[in-house]
Amino acid sequence: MAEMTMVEALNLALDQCMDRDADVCLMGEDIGINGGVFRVTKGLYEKYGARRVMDSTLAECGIIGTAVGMAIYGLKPVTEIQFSGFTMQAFDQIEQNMARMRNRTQGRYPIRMVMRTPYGGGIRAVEHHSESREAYWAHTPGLKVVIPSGPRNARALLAASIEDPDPVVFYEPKAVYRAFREDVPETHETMPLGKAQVVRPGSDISIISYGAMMRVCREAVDDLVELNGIDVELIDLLSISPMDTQTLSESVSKTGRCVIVHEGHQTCGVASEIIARLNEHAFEYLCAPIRRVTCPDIPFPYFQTEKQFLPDADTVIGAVQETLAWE
Amino acid sequence: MPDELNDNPDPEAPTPAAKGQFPELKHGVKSSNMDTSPIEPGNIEVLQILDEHGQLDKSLDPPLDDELLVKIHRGLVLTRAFDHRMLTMQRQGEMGTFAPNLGQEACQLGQVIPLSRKDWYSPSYRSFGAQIWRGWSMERLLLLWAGYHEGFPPPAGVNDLPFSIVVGSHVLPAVGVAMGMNYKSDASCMVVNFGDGALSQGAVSEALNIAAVDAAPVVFVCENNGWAISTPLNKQAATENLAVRGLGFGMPSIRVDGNDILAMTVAVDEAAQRARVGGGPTFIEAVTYRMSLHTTADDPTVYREEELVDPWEERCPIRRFETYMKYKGLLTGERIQQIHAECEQEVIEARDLFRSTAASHPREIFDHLYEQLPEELEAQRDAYLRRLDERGGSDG
Amino acid sequence: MNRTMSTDFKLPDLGEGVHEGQVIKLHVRAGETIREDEPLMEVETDKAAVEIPSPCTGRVERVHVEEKQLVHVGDVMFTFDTGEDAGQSSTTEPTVTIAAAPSTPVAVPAPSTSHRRKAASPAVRRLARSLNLSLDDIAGSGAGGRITRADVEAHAGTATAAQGAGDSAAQIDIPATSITPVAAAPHSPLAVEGIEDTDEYGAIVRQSLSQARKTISRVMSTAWQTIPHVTDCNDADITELDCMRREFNDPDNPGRRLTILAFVVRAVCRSLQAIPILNASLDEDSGEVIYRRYVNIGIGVETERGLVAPVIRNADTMSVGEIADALEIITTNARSASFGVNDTRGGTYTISNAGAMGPTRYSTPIIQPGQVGCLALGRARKMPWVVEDRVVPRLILPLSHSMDHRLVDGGREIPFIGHLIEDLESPMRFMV
Repeated sequence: MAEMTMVEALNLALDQCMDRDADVCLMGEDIGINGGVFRVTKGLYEKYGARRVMDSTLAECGIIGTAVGMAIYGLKPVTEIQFSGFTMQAFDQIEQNMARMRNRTQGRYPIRMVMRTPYGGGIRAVEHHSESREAYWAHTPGLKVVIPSGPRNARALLAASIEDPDPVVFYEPKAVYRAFREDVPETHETMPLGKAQVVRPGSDISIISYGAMMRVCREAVDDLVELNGIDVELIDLLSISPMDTQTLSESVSKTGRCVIVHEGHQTCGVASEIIARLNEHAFEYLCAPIRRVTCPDIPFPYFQTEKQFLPDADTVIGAVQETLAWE
Repeated sequence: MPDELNDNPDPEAPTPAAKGQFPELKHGVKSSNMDTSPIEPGNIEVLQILDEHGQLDKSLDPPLDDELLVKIHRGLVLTRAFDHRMLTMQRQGEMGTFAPNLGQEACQLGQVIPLSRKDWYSPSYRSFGAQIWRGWSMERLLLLWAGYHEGFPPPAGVNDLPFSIVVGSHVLPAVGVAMGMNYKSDASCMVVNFGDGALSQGAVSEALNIAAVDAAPVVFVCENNGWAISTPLNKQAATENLAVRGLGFGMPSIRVDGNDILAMTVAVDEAAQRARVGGGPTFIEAVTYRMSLHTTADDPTVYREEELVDPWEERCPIRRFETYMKYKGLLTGERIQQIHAECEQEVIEARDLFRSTAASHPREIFDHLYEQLPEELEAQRDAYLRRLDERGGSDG
Repeated sequence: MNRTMSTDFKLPDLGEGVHEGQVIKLHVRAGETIREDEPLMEVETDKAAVEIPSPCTGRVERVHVEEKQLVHVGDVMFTFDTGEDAGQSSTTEPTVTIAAAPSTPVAVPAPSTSHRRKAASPAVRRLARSLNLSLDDIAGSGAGGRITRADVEAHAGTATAAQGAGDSAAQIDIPATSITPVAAAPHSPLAVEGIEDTDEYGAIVRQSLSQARKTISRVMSTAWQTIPHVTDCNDADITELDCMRREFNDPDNPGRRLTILAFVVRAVCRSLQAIPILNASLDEDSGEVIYRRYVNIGIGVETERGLVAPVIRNADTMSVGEIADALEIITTNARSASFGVNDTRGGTYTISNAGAMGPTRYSTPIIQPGQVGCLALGRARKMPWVVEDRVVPRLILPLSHSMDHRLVDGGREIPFIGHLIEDLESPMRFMV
């Protein structure tokens, strides 16, 4: 075990996956000698060389499109898009080829690749650097969408994504990149994709969240439990697609109440999908309408306003209290 | 497969003569901190070996094997017969929308004749002549265009990408495959085909640039047929030729008579040989003409004068190659007629085979998206199958 | 052997999503023969004018359309005789007819607004179903008349009682029609174990008290009967305290979580030192007040065995951080039942974090024998609060403080609670 930030843990996962499998290669802008703009690939260029750690031209669509080709050829590229706001440039290739090449060719060309990209607000970045548009990719058949919340699960989920036989969109909560350290085992570790984690069992209400919002939720839960004596069940979704419907519906069938927290916009967001599934699987156990705590349907504002724009613990506490007050 | 060309790499062979003109590059930028000496314009060759009258530039006549030449002729005739049959079947209600390729047969075959089985090919939607040459059966292509997903995957042993639908969307993955060859030190190459319209797509420019920077073993064949549905070339590009684009990205570029099967074969062969040994990509502008419809859902009389098409009847790629074959003493007029009839028969047999085997498999639509179907999709599949059962749906 | 074989040719979809077209030209008439692929007709759609080649070889039995006629995809254009007499047979299958869905709207009854369903959450509906109750019979006490779980449970109780009454109705001659017509729900599904029995009103379950509950019962009775309680209800605005608490991160002990309760314990200790009578006890036998120099704070903790109050000893000597650690230990131990009787002895004052159990605000905490005060914390929540003549949202902690009126009067109690509130509202006082 070693104490690591999420950046260090991701680096460890990349290093070990490259060490284990010569077909794993990295592609992205400034990921070579520069180690990536967030330094996630630091030291890998020196260790594995320019053939396996490829500095790409400044073309996001080009990175994803050529990575698809490399995957068709049998390699396992792990691409880095510097900010998730720039994945829009690559939308074309993600939709036309990355997500559906396997289906188009009836399994002849599986696409074993990962699109890593930091997402979310809270680091005082300029425009187009703070988006949380994971719902786009969850809406796209053929992709898996994974969002870790801390160093240890980030490492295990990235390793699992690289080993997965299908294309994975891997959203890294950049507000968490260096926010705290966790013990991360030095030996290779993976977690199954598509499984949520009950972080704190409870009986009064379920809070479902993922990524950077997990920190906000933990803070809210501490208060709710200590101050108000509310026995909250907190769930870390970890995989947006496929989604662990069973864990979510079991929790809400038990508590009867639920608040979903994410940074992404509200309309047709991940929370909307969770509510739809709970409606299908836990309807008769619901004691109150399920509430969403999300960012408004407004483009992410310039950073002087981001603190107000992002949900905080008080927003979550308020939503929980309103849900509990509903009889 | 025709490895003959690959087996005769002759580095001493004269390069095709340059008949073209230099592109006009303007260089008026003055700056104290930059080299202000005039920029040397790049060199774009123009290649034609067999002109529209069947006149041969004997100095350029490639030493192709007789058997291969006969096979090429048959490939051209078969492509046209297949195209004609598909159009008929579409009008009779048996096919979905498809993109006819009348007049582009030489252009298509020429880009794959020099390839070995180890090489890769990435077709666009109008490339079925090339696909047949590569080993796609006609009945598979009929399945594909009649709306059966079973026609989509490349046949076993054929290193092709599926054809692209969204214009230009296949070019980046094609470059990626070639980058994979570099990664694995595989001395093969990728030929990717796209049209004049595709060059306006940003993703194609990204692909050209990445291939040039990474010295990827790619041969870009831009099949300039003059039209992107109703948009003529002069509304698509402000340059007189399209080969200048490749030059701009820093790769050797050549303009080839796309209706001259010999010129196409020679140009692609040279580019492929260079690519396989680390020489990087080549841009080939193949000049041809879309004599028929954009697709069967299109009516070109709305936007195009018939007189524009007439001169291209004269430039028919098949007729001029038949003149060459007669000149070479490899085919007679009578034998040529027989070949046309044989090809027509071959197409009819493929059609009949298609009719007897075509079956859709609606119960299998969930089978190929993921390696292992996620639970949530299992539930969707169960609901979908129940719906089929309730409708009395069958597998057919 | 019948040598004729009729085949219909229907207009195919000639473009993408084309539904109709106009016949421009017919190339054949009835009675003529045609070979496969020879031109049959020309049709112009809004996408293109196209020539349609014959799908088969045969004799045209019938032409169903005329030139200039508007035709739809799926309409029969021609009928061919493709029997052996007519020519070479063809394997052409008739094309699939695309049946146009009728566009006439189906009459849908207008939604009635006169009768809306009774409002209740899905879980309450489920409860009512399980009790075989109709929501129509239940009055809702929730917001907007919504039926709550409590409404259903209360109604279930009434229903049982009413039924019990009904059983004896014949004897006391009350007309059966006056009995509330509730569907049979013979037993409410109580999830309790015990001896099934009946009393005069219906079925009951008898269950023995646990030893712990017996003890609690006895202590509570004694306390309530011997101590004259007076309860003072008050509020503390802990907005700033909460902010300070959140922002504070102990550099020496980053894992430590400072809870509001820890601050309250600290503030209570300070107030007890200021008003020591609240930390005393009354010895009626000797006629003495016993002041303690130590402060041992009992903390009411709800456990599976019932309410217990493990004690933080010498709490007055501890920092807030140390109190937080002590709280962590006693609550963990209490919940896991790993504490002994001695851990609950020796308290001089008790605090009950009642808000931790649910949405309570004010209550009457019962004073432990041998002590003179007991403080209950309600559930803190944001409230509209008047600050400098403006209504602002503040985080408000409800306080209920009981005193033993034998020993303490308002003259002592009010300064005590005032001191406590001032501490909580001006957290800097902790630091000084």
